[in-house]
Amino acid sequence: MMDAGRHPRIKLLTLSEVEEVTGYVGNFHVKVRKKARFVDEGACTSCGECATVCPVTVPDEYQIGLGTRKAIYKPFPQAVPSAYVINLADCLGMNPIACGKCAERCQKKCIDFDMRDEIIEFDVGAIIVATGMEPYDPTAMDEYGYTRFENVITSMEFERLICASGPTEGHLVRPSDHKIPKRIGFIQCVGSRMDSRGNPYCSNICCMNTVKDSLLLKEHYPDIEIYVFYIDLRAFGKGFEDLLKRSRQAGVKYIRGLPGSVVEDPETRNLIVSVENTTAGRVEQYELDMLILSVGLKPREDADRLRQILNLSKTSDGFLLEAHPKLRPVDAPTPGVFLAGCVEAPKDIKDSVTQASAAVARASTVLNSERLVVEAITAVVDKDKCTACGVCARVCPFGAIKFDKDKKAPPEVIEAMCAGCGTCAAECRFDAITSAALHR
Amino acid sequence: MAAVEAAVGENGRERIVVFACNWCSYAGADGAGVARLQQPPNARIIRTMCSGRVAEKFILRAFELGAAMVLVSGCHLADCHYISANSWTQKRVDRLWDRLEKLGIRPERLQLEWISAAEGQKFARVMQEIEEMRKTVTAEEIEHTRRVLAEEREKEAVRKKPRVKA
Repeated sequence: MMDAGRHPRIKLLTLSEVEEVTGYVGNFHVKVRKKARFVDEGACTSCGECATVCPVTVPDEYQIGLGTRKAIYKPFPQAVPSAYVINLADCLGMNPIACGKCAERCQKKCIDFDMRDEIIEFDVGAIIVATGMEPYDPTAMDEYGYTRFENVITSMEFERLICASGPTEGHLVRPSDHKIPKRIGFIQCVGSRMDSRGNPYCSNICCMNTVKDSLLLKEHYPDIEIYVFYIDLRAFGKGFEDLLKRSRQAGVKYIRGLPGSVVEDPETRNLIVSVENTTAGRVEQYELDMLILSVGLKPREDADRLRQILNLSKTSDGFLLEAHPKLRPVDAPTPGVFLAGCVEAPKDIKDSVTQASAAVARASTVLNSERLVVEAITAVVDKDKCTACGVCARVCPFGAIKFDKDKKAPPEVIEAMCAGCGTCAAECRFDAITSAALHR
Repeated sequence: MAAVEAAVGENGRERIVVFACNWCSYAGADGAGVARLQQPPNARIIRTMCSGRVAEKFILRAFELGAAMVLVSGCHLADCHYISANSWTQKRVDRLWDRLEKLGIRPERLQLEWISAAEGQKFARVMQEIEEMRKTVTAEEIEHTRRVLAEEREKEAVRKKPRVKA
């Protein structure tokens, strides 16, 4: 990220949102709203003096609410650009008379309360969508007691607890009494592989994330007891099976079966987990100090808005659809748009990097070619038969037919945008549209 | 259109004409074949890029030529390879059902199903169901359909005479 920020030919627009994309492959016109940061990101040196005087304290999103931040803050230590930002919703009214302590304190005078959103417009030849995903929120699956018991946490929260820059500086403690837990359980497939609630698909990363976490715990606390409750362990990648084997050798107990009930001992705040061990064929009970829900991944809440802006489609699970699942896995059905990372499907870092590299290569073939070849299935308008009614332009899912009602002239087909579905031809009541291959 | 004519061919009375889109339903049909699921032998599949391409006149032509059943099948509604083209298919088939009813043709003889590439089983099941329905279509019914649609087409042809440009 730092490298991308420093690169002379990469323009990074952070805190920005794409509002509108028009045009087609090679000729996209993009409108971006650059939101007001209220801090001059070029001048800010990240000294952090402003945050020390800020009187507002709110839960820190980066620490999943386990820590706090101020209304003026840096989202996380390695944030790019390395500059502070004011969250408008938290700041004490944007009224310098009401507070304005940060602006007084800043020696470089880079805090500007008058900053407003800017609209930036520019042309691009290709677009890569890499907007990622969201972790599943296990509130709905309350049989594991996530909302009721303090010592039941998600894998995201656990990740903050064992992180050196986390709220506990990497010391693992359980939330109820801040003691180091002796027995830890992981429940796999929370919100994944379930038809009734959550999501039906496998979230891909959670098995290996748990294996990694179990090894990390064993390294730091060799006496800790770890139980992993799973449906199947999917250690399919390069070196993954090896890691799983090491975790087993380190003494981590893998139990095939998802817990049926979790109850809390009101005195010790320990969790009593009942599970059908399907390998042993019996119901077992475990008393655990802490339970970690290995949550799956889901599409972002705002994915549909982006889909409308870019005219993309999604698969039934909500992730973006590729042009072909095997032969064009990084191309979107819309020409000139490419996909990378979890926006396409849940995947780990390595797969995301692979896909991103592929998407860049695909995009550069578009950018470096002088001409683009289109399949001979694009729509052609027979100008003699056309009555300029405009139905074709209305039904085209790709917006490839340009029609001006006032001109009363036959519509124009932009071949680069037409995908050849034939909807226009079927809807035309005058047989005035056919596909190019059949024309003449 | 030629594909429709070839598909109905001779012995049209027992024919089931299936329009399957290239991306989902045709692949689903392929899947049904690969899985060796039993399917009616009198069905003929016409592949289109999208179910959105299946114009009213294709379907009417199939009926006019004597097809007993017509199935239009495409990707599930949010899954269309062409974003939302199959929503137009739905509207069109809805419209056509009304029209068939007005012409005295049983609307059930035109079926619309969303079958994804992974649903070979569903494809086979739908085909079996359609075959069952096909058995209820009588020869008189088909004759009636052919006559009505031929008349319709002639009327249409008169209406659509090339406009004389002033």
